[in-house]
Amino acid sequence: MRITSLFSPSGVGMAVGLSALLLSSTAWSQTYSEAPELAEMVAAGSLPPVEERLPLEPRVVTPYNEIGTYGGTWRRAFKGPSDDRGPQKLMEPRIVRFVQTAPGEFGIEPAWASSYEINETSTEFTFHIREGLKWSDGHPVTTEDVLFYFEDVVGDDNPWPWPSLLKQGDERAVVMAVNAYTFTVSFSQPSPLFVTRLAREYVWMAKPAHYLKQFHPAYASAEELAAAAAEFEVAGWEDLWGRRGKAESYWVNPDVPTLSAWTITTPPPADQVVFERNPYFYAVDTEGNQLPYIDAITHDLFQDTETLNLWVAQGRIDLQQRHMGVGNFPFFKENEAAGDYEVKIWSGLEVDTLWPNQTTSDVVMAELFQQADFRQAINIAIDRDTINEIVFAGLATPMQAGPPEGSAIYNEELIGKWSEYDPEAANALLDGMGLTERDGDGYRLRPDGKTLEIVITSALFASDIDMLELVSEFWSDIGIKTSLDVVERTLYLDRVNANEVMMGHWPMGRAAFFLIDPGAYAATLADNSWATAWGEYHLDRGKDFAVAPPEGHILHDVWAKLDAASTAASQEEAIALGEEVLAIHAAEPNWVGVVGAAPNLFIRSNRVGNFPEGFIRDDITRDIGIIPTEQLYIKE
Amino acid sequence: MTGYIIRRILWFIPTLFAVSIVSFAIIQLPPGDYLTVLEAQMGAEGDYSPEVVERLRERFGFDQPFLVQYGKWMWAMLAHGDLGYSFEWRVPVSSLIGEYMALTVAVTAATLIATWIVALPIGIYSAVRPYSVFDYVATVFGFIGKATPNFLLALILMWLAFVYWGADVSGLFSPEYKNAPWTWDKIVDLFKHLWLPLIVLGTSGAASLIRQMRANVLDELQKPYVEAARAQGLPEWRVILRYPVRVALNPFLSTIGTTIPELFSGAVTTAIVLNLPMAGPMLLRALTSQDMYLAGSFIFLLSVFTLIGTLISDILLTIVDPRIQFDEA
Repeated sequence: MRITSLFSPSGVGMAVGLSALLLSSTAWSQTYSEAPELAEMVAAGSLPPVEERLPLEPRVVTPYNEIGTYGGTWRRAFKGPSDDRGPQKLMEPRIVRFVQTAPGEFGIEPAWASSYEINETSTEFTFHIREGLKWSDGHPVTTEDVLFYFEDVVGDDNPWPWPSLLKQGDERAVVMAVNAYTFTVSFSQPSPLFVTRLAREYVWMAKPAHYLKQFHPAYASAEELAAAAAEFEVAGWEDLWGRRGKAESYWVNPDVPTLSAWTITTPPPADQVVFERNPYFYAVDTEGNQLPYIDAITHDLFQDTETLNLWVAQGRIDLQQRHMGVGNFPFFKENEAAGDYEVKIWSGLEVDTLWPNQTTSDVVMAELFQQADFRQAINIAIDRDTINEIVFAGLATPMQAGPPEGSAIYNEELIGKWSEYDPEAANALLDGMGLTERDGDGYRLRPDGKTLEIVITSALFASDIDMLELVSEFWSDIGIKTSLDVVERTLYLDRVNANEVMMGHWPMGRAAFFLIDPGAYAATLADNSWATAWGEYHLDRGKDFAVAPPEGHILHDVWAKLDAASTAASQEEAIALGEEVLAIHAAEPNWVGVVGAAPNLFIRSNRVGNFPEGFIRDDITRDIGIIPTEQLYIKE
Repeated sequence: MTGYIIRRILWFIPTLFAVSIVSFAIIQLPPGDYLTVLEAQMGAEGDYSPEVVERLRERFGFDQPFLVQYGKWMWAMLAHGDLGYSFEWRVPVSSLIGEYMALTVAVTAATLIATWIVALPIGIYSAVRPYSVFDYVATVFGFIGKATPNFLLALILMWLAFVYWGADVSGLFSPEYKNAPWTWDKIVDLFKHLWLPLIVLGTSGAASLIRQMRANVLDELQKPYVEAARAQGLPEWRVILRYPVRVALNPFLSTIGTTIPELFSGAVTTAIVLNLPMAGPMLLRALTSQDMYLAGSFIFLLSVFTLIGTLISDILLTIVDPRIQFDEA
């Protein structure tokens, strides 16, 4: 169950092999089929025939179970603008994308590229756009759109900053067009993780130049820009661009051409957001039927999760994992028949974790947290099995925080370390540290004579609070007082960033591939704040509390290895360095992982076909977007 | 009377001005701003970029002092009727809140009317026939209705409707009508969904109205003028409706102004639970995401409605009870 293929050299071979397969498959089926409604439009002359809409080599998607049928609406729910990634992850217009062919069998495939090559030193990446590929308005996609993206969309005077993915230090990668369908990305140093990160980050590599130029100051006059801003009801042309830009964002503007399987037809702020099939989508199934099978996707706006739960029970949700809490598992199961759906389980890679801040402003506590014996004591004082049974219905796994089994880089020792319940040993460790004095309530006293009290700051909801209350009971058994400070998410982040949190509470996530986002191990991710001041020292953002870790601290070693991994000559070398980082943390974990790898619940209506079971879900691999959603179909 | 109304309307201006400053200040009280919320969201999705946030901060003018931001908002509103821009939805506030406010006003008005239609006759009857079986039933209902929190009632009714009828009772429209233009069918669909919010929002109001009406009418029934009216040989229903009831109505009319904001705020939790496309949930979301112009505009408009409600109640009062005179000085 390991994501080996991602990093093995066969990742490249696979891409090439796949395009060979595509060529042969197009040879088998020279004629393509299409959705009946599109066929009608073709017959009426309002749409070109499917052969002209598809690229010469369409992407061939193998359906998980069977060839689907056209039609139907996929009904989902969303929580408002802040939840826009939910709908978007179903149809990200990526040049390369993650795939999962069987549980845990991950890979990267070219999406709107037909293939890509990497040179031996991992410094030059050559991408081939599918010849004849069209935007959703029928306009051809060429390297002109790629150059437009890098010259006019990202960069200093452009709407978006230059993506960090295409930067090494302050030096930018060079993007060059070889011909209309081929372009290269070159780095001065090796960038072994580039393609993998490209499958995950919000860097689209091309934007529809023919449409967007009219909103860009390099091509449009000031009057034209002002007129466009007025038409979209925004203050200036800048507001037409960006993540929710009125002209640029395919989530806001129905007119902007995209490369997604569906395009938005009713954008927010509607109470129901609607996406409809892109007639120019570049993929077909193994029998040459143009994808997607499903006509439309709707997202109904909901305010309260209880409403969503009722919608589930009433069979108003066809396929969705987002906002489906593990705690509702019994409720969802009970109503399977009533709602005509099944609860399908994918495994998750998150670990619910407490983060003792070794650089907290309370100096006495910081010194305690810095001692491995203390961290070991608070770790082994927790009965993780009990927490799993009570809070997670026994569905999660009691473990230390680290990439769980199934992750690409994984260390068995780390996730097993200090996770056995042993309160006597915990007491002995604390006694051994000299924390033997007690106050009137039986709590231990700190070296400065105050009661030993840990303040946990959390920004989470009901089930997590249950977890924290159990933890505080277990800690109270070894003489440590605990208090909970539950705050709003923004405030949480503010406090962490100001080094005002003694112990944070946030899952360790993004584990499928920790090298892509290794902040938890480098102490540089606010969510995983086990050494905020030291992490800030490395980030060098000018925070006044930032301070270097002591001489010989593991962080120096971790940072050096992570830096080396990002410019390693090969993927194997990067992986080896990543494994070393995990080994460093396995010696003496710096945090308190509690339970993890909890199941992710998918509500899957019985009318939805081709949904795979038992996969691994992770943000890195794009959540549900890991499956080609275009091959899902509605049985009717 | 006309002069009085004009004067009252003129008083709206300083009042609204004060309200707008206070509401704008309250919105700014929590630490951070919309962009810190956005940062948190971006962090959670793993696409955080400090540069993007910095650019937006300048773009939105968040780096300017409070008074400058307020001044710009006020000026745009006064000069162009522009309520500002919703950062989160990325649309002008005015195009966002129109339908939400309209539905809020419609549901609130419907609730108010339904409450009165139900509560007044029951209250009067309870007073005229005190300690009858009907009075006890109404009393029990009244106390339960008053004591049950709206959101709980909403959850219970939703649950019952789901378990016994398998019906979807959330929202104001069926999914197929959500984006549909206004047609007769859509209005029918609205009425099919409206009963639940009416019950939930109206129950506690109706309950207290029944209790008050009963007490007021009981008080009045003892008064000599009732005796006099009866002595003149008027039919009993006329005696009651024309005199004691009319006097008993005073407290209700004078509280219309306060009932409206109560209904609005009561509607927030109810609307969230029932997933109603009303102002409340939108306001709450705007507040949590610190979408300040959207939140500020909602609070501002709700204040306007409250002021208008108070004015209407004062005018109605003079019509119903001629003993009340406006101070013309």
